Amino acid sequence: MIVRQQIIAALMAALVTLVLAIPIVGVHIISEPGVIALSWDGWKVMVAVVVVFIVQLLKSYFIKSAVIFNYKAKFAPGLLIEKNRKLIISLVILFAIVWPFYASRGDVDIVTLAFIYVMMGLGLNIVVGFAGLLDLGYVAFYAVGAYSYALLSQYFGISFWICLPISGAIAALFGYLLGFPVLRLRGDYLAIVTLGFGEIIRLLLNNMDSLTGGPDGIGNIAKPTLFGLQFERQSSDGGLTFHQFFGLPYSSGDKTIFLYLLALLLVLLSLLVINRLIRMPVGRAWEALREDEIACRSLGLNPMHIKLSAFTLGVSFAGFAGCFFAARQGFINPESFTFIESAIVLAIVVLGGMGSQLGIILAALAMTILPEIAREFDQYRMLLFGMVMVLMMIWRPQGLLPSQRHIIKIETS
Amino acid sequence: MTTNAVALLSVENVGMQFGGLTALEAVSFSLNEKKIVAVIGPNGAGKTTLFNCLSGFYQPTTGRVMLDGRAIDKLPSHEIARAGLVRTFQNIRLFKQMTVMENLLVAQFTRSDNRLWAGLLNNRHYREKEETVKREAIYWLERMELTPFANREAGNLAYGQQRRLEIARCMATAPRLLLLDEPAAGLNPNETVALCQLISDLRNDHGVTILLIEHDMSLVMEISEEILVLDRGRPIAWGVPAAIREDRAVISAYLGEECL
Repeated sequence: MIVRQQIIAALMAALVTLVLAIPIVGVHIISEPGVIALSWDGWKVMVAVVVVFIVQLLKSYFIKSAVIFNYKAKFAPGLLIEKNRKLIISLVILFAIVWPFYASRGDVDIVTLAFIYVMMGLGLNIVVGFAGLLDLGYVAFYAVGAYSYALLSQYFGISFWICLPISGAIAALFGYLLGFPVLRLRGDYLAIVTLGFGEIIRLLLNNMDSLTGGPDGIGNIAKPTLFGLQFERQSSDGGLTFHQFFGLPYSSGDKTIFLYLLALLLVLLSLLVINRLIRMPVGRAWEALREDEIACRSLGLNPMHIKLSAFTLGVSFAGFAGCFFAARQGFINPESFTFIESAIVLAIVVLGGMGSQLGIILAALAMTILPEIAREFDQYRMLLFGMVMVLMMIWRPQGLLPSQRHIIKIETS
Repeated sequence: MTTNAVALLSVENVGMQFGGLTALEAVSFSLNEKKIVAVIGPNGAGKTTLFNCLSGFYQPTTGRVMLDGRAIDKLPSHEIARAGLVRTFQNIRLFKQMTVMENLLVAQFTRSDNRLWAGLLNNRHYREKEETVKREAIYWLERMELTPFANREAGNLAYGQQRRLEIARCMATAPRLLLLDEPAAGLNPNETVALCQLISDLRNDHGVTILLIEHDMSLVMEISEEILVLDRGRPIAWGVPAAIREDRAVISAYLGEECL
């Protein structure tokens, strides 16, 4: 009986695949000069249908086998890490500091980009993972941070180091202003409004030509300096550059390494701050609010204040990340802040395991580095991305490394 | 201070309507400090609605609620809680995925040092406050015999322990008036006896006034000093347990006219 049901389900799935596959992979448009024709390729359709049929048929076995894998993974890392926590953390940090000096420029650059996503993931984790507020427009605050720095630098010549906190603060301000009317909404409604906000910011940046340069963006944004030392071959303001000051031969790799270390510093700072936040009363309140808003109210917690604090603090990290992004790229335009960025950051949070910091770092590294390694599959990136998400939801809905309670241990003799 | 000081809670002519449905009508009573009072009545009599009106989860359509001489019927629920009126829920509402200890810490949120900088820099005032909050939580763990489960997730506790934790969580806010919505529901007879003792101890040791809804008549008759009886949204009797037991209106409300 069960077997028959499975066969029917598999047949239905295969049928759906057939319908979908014919226009997507079965038919190709050949447009040669003067001729536009359709070419039929039934072979790929057949493969797709057969694969879907078999996978559907054996799905239940896959899931069963995955359950075992589930249990192992849940306990093993916890046991290893818990004992030598401090040692492992210091070793990892040490490795992260030394690594860029031996790695290729391209790799260092990619990891720097990954660090930006780590920061955003950690920030969004406060909003989604801890406070349970689904924000689909997180990229808006990333854009606000990036444009804050770009504009302040361009119009007033303010340096990166001063702009970094300002960008975070401006993003937080936007978060507060948006959150004030919007956080009354729950779940899906909040997601839709934040999604809209993300688009509004992007369209605004696109259309305010006089201020933001519109689709052309802003170029020649000043790079970060090390106590005023630039990393260029020739200083633009007549001062000393990094290599001149230290009497080193000029190397363009210095700048890459500097940016990497700067990103690492920002990530570590974010981790430090967020780790304190979640242990503070406000952090506990975020989680309590996610668990049960009514119980919170009955204990005298103002849900609005707590949501606002989570939202404001969470998005400020996007502001910092945006500021660093603008400084690193040296050029920004609204194209860098599309919805897909929000989706990627949210995927990082979900993949990593909501509320789990280590999981999010791993997920962010994976989400940015894997696509770079698998450049050949560029065309199928979104397809793979979707597949990974589906598999994750089936096998490990709690994420790679589900959050562990940061328990305040007390003697229970 | 005179002996007949203002009542801790005074409810004047409170009514609650949902569209055309009258859930509560003309409920008036007052509650002196350190009393234990029960609200009883058949199912659907409006007991929980009354609790919701008092604790700010509903805004009563008519009437006034005064806590210690201050009108609270227009305040949002969290401000009422801060004023010292806290409640438990019929279906227990713990923070299930947080530990027992954390549940008790969250309850003291309003008494913690919530300044961002103080916490981030871990300064002295912040640490002292956190210590106080932790000590208070540990006190309530001990008091409610929950210490062995302190690091366990609240959702994994046995039912009776969850009930105790919910009361402990309320007490950690240092309330003046505690509203218990069916505290004995789902407890076994032994646990009910222990609960009886607990409620009177809380009143005696911590000076908290208690208003409770309960269906378990043995518990109600034993611990309450006065009883309010509601039927179909209206108060039909108010008095000491012995009088309520004999009250014809109460008996007819519970058992029907023909049984008299």
